[in-house]
Amino acid sequence: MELEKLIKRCKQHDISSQKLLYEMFSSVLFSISLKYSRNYAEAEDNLQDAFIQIFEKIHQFEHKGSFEGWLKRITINICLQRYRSQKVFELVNEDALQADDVYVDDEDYSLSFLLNCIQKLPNRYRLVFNLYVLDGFSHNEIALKLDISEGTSKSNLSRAKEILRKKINAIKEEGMYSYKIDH
Amino acid sequence: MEPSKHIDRMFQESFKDFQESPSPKVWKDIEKKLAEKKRRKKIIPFWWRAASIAAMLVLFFSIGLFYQNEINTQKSISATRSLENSKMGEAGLLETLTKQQYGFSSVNYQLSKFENNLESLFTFQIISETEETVREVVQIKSGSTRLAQSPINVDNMSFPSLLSNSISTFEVSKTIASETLKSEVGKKKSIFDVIEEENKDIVLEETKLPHQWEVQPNVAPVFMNSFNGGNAINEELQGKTSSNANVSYGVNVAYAINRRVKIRTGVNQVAMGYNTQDVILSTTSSSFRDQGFKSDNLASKTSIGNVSLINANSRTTPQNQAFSNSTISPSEFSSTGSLSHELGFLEVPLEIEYALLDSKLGIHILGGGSTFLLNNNEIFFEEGGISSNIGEADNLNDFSFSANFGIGFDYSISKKLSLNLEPKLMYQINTFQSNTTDFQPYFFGIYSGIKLKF
Repeated sequence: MELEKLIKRCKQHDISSQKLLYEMFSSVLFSISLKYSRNYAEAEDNLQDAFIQIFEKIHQFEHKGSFEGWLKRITINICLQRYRSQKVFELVNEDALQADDVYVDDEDYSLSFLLNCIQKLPNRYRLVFNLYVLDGFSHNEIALKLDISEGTSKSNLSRAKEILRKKINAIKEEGMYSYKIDH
Repeated sequence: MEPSKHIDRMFQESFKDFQESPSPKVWKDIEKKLAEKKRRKKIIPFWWRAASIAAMLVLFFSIGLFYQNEINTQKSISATRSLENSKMGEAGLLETLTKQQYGFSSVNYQLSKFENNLESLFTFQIISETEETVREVVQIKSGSTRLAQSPINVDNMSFPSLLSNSISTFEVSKTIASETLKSEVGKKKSIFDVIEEENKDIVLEETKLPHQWEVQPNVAPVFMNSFNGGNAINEELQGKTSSNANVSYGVNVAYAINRRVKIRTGVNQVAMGYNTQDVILSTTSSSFRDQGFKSDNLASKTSIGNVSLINANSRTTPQNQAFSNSTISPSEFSSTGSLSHELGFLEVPLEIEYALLDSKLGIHILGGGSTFLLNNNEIFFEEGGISSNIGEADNLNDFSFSANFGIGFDYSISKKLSLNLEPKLMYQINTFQSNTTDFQPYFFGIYSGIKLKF
């Protein structure tokens, strides 16, 4: 009920309500932006663009689903818009690689290390990995969002996982436990 | 060695409750941008609308006035002159008549009239002399009969010169009056000539008219809508359909059969589209299509697979239960957005125009039909500011027809050029394949252009 009132006021471009809405959702959306962006600075830029878009389009939201879900979708779309046009060179046939069972040692890796691993992935691998693994989109939906084929989406995911696995293992082998959580 | 874990699960668990606050700088930037946009928004709509209307009006009238002035200066100079001369002549004629009737007694009248009307050089001479002299002039004027019949003894040095001046003025005015009278008579003749000539022109024009061709480049905002509300892509997606303002441009050629009836054709490119709000997009595997599950008139891009569209409003109603169960599991990220269908046609109209009023401002009605050739057909799904091309409608006919009705207004700038405004309704007959949809679209355009006649 409270949120509905807030949305209504945001629709009327009330700046104090907009600030309140920002305070309520900025951390959730910033976490999404961090996962989809290449670094902290870009994540802030994307979050800013997302909120501008949210306030511009808020009149289109008609309380027919989760408001938070709507906000998340806009944030993801802003990031996709920024990175999806940057194509990766594929030297091998993307459809060929589909190894799905990638395992890593069950340890407590620090969140900042894992986030860094994701951020360092090539653009499309990062987008596909986030969409599929962390945000539950299907390959079909990803293909549509990124304007690629379903096969490409699947193979991008496998490559992303492979890169992540290697990075995680390398850290372990080199004994760089600085990334590990000590608490 | 630690037990191994699936990488997906590892990441999912780690990021489950991940939240991080952005730096305060982000909100400051957002606030700045919002304020900027608010300011711009306030200014733009008002100016945009007012300016566009004003610009249209200014353009319309200034072109009209410009040409009208040119015609006036070119054609009417002689007429105005003759009119002025005739006025002057009238005054002269009146004076002459007065003179004839009242003899010499009207000298004063003649003089003052002459002074008033023509501001003669002599008047200025008299006035520029000393005040005393002027008073004498007044005296002379008031006692004009005496002046004329018997010279008055006024002890003034300047009187003889004044008298001679007055007399010469009178002489001059007399000659001028008679001259203007002559010229007036001459001009009067010429006015009749002009009228006669113009009548001849009109007669000539009337005989020429049936062979007139017109070329009319035009442009129009076009609004597409439907008589019964439905949706062309999926009948489930009813309501909430709105037209985008689109554009049609092209050239028309008209042939005048007689003064009232013209037959016309041309080529127009029409770009239009409509939006459907509240659509849920879900992607399904090809097996659904094999099972005969297909209610959309949509050919999706092969790289994506099949796409299903569901009305967001009807998702929770029981009769659509099967629908939603089979196609989507409404997760947080199932896409609800708007569907935008963009269409392009090459239009070839064949219309008959009947003139109701045929003068400087002409009014005509028109009726006929158009043939449409489909040359663009794309469906976009827009959600949260991002739009993806999801395919094309597969129930559109490559060839279609429409019935057209309209009314037109012409404002003629010159014999060869006129401005044209024409609201037109086009009812589309078979744009969509029968049995695929109830969608009965029509479109409405306000055509404006310039008509060139030759």
